[in-house]
Amino acid sequence: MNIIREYSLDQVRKNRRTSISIIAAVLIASTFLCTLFVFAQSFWNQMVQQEVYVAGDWDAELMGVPADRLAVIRDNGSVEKILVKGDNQTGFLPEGTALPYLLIQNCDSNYWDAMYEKNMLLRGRIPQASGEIVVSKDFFLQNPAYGIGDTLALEITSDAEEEPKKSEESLTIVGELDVSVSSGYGGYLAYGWLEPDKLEPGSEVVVYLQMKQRGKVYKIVPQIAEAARLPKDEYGNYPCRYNSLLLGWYGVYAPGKFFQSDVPKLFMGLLLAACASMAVFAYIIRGAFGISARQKIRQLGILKSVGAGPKQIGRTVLYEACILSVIPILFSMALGYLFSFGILSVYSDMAGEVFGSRMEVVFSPAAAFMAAVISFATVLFAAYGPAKQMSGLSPIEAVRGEQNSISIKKTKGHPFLTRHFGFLGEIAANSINAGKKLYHTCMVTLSLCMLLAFGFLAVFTVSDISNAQAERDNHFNVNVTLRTGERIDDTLLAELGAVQGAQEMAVYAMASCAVWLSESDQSAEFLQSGGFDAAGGYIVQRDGRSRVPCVLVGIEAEAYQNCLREAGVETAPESSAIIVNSVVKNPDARGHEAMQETIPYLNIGQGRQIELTEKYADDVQGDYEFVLDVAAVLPSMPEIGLNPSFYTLPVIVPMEEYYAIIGNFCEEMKIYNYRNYVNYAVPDGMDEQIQREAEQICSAYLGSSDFAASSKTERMRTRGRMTRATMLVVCSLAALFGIVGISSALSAILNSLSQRRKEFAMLRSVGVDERGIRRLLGLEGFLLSIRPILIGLPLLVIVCLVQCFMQDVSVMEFLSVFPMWTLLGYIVMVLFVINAIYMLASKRIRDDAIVGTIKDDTV
Amino acid sequence: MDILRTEGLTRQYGTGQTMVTALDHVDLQVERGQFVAIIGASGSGKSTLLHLLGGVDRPTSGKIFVEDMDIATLGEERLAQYRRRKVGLIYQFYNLIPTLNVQKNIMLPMLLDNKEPSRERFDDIVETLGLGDRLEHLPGQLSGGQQQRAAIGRALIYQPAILLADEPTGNLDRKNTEEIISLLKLSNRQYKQTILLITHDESVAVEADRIIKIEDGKIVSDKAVRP
Repeated sequence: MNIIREYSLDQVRKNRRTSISIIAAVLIASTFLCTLFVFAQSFWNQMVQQEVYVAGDWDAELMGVPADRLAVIRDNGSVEKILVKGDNQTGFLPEGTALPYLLIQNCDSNYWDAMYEKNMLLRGRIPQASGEIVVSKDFFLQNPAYGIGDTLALEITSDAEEEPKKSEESLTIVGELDVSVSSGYGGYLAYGWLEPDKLEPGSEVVVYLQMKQRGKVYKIVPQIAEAARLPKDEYGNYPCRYNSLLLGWYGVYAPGKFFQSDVPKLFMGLLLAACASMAVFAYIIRGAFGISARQKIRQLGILKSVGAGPKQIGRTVLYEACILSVIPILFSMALGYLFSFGILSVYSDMAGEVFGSRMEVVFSPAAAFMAAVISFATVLFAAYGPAKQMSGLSPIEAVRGEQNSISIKKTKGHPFLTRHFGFLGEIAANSINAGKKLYHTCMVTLSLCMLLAFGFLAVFTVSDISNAQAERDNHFNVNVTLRTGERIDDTLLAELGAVQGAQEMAVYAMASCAVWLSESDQSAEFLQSGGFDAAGGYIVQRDGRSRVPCVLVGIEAEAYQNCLREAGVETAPESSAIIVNSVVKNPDARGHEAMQETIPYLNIGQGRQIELTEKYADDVQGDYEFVLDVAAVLPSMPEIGLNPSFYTLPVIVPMEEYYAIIGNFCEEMKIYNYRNYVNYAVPDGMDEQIQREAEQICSAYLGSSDFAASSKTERMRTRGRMTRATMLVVCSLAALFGIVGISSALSAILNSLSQRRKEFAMLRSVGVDERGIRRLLGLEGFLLSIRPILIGLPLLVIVCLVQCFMQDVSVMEFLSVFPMWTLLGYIVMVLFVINAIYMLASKRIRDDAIVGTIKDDTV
Repeated sequence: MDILRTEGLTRQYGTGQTMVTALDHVDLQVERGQFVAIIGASGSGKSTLLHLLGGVDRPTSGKIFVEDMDIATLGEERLAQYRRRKVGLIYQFYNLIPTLNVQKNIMLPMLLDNKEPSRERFDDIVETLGLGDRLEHLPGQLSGGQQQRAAIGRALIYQPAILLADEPTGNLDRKNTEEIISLLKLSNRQYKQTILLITHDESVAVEADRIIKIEDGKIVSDKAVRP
């Protein structure tokens, strides 16, 4: 074996203390990295699975495809699989059913395999052959005489044909689906079985594509649409849609959309976290290697004096790094997985109650390999510094031990210590100062441990205070969102309005739109505060005109009349609106109170006309424009539970008017804008009960994915759970830092005391007794243990102050909630652990024979 | 013929008011095969001179020619090569690597060159040093005299042209001192090696061919003891 390698291996074997300290640092660093990768992989996997569960496993959708052109799409070389849905039919239900129709959509086997509808099955099974259907839950609710297994003899018409042919068919109900359709359709939703080869030539279907190469989907799908001779729409686009969320998780984005997506930002954040952790760990490991290298500096000097070159000296450190990192890195792969499994399982249990699904911990050999490579690179990078330092040693200084000895060039005055502890106090302070390089790692890791755990705790504390403040400001404590993609059933809204116990209720719908205004439309007060020019990106200015973002708010007719009355208007013409003419005076103001100060926004009054457009941003496809008469102007937003963002002009219309307007919006926006928001103000303690009642009513009409309800109590509980779950992860990571800190403290203290055995023997030889040595060591231990606290505490205070400042939380408010006792407990624990290590490690020094140690000058 | 020559060799430590001149413009010539003893009081600069000649320290100014090569101008790698192949250093406190056994400590300069000495030469050195039954031992398991013999073996293994010994007997008893000096003289005779030996011991110094006395970093006397 090469002598340098052999020497390094021997050093690793002989210097167990430092080797264990390095192994601990490498093990924890690579475990952390592996955990990070396992977490990232599991998170990605969870997101993909969730997306597939919610929206199906498809890449692109082609609408209105004639059945005779299916083969063109299926046979395209880039297409892996097609999923077909369509050939919609209407079944006429027998007399006696609550609604007269069954609205049947047929799906082929690929569709049932890959799409989300199967996940909505409440009972039974999905169709597996022609003549089998699953029906929506409201069918069973409204027609209890029917059950799964029943066969319906129905008259069926095909929806696609211009002159529908009627036929008699027997359909067997095989399952119940958690879906719904607006009662306006007069029927129940049902899904059947489709054989694409048996489709009538005239029928049209929707085709979902799974691509062989996802990365080319945005380029190839329009080519496929062209090959299938699908007509373009009014905007020149083929009737296709992309599963952009799922594609985003696979790293595929529409041209120009990369930076608009959250996924790259998320992974960029992860990459930054990995780089930051690598840098921290590299620093920690470098410290551990530094201690090891300094410990054998004399031997390296000897090696150099007998002819070892700088590269060979440097290699001793790098070989040591390799030897000491291989086993811990391999071991960390298992440990990282177990750690992730443990932490994420507990996290999932906590957060799962909030998200409704558990995160499955995924171990991928590729991710483990990548973590191992990065860990190894980190170790080598960390060892490079000490290696370079050692290779530049002066052999004679190293042999003499001049570079190894703990020596100080300057002494600082320590009047306090000298006054209370005499010359021993001075020795203790100077010794700790002189050995500070040895203690770097343990100082940094213990400070980081404190900063990480309590910094996050501070963030959560401030966020809790801020959320509590927001909840206090929220007039409505139960909030329901209805999102069926179509107009919400009036009977459902009526039932929600009849819920007992609510003190107040507001219903609204909203749609983004914009108005182009000129300079003169600004109010004098707004102009004085900076006007449109001060609005930055909120207001786009072009050709002397400014595009002001608006929110079209639809409220119930009665509420609208109340608003009119409040403004002193008795009647309003058709196509009229109420304008809320108010804007925050100083949007940059930090204080909560300052943000409440508003001024008139526009120079606008009753009787004026306002021309709005649905194109509130350049990338909005639709460009529908509509004109409204200003029936009244309100100085502030009526209490309906909506807080429009800065510079957004609320335009309130009656709900019927609202629906009439958004009916002309482009399809994508229309679906979104049909959302209704129902808010309740209920007495304290009743919010969860009202929430449950509202959920019960909604579930009778809607599929579970079509509505969401929350209450103040539930939100607070959810935040508490999320905080606890996140703190679990953060504290686990902080504990890892803590372990590195303690192990490096142990190694550094043992090394330092071992180097100073002679010094202590000399002190004893001049008459310092056992009590004095204990006092000196105790003082050193205290000075050492107080340092990470003195470093970490000011940083923590800065983090807390910054958080308080940013969220406008007062220091007293913060202190009343922040767990000060836990912080105090941590400080006491650090003091105790380091002092205990110091006292245990110093036992040998106290037991040393004076003469033997003083004589021992050469080894 | 000179194997070693210094011109205006100066070594200063520290800066400003704390600057110390350990060696002050020393000019020295040593012929091939000469056995030179360097004597002087503590702090006179003799160890500094030896370290500069051994390439383990660098001069502040001046030149050091070894076989007509100025080692003061060599880069780190070339200087390390010089220390391995051209010069053997023996210290008072042996300076063996405690984790390597005696055999590897002796072979160290060659092993650093990824070479192994011929079996014949190695056995010859080990027999001369009387370490045949100690080769597998670690330095910590040897007496002071044995450790110093191992250090001499390490200095001899590459057959360097120059042996530099910094008070090699300073830590040894009389019997071991005599043995070590005999070994050095044997090496000087047998392998025609040039030896520079620092000592405080006059009885050791008189064994040399030439005695140089250093005071305050300068050569104050240079006497040939025997031709």
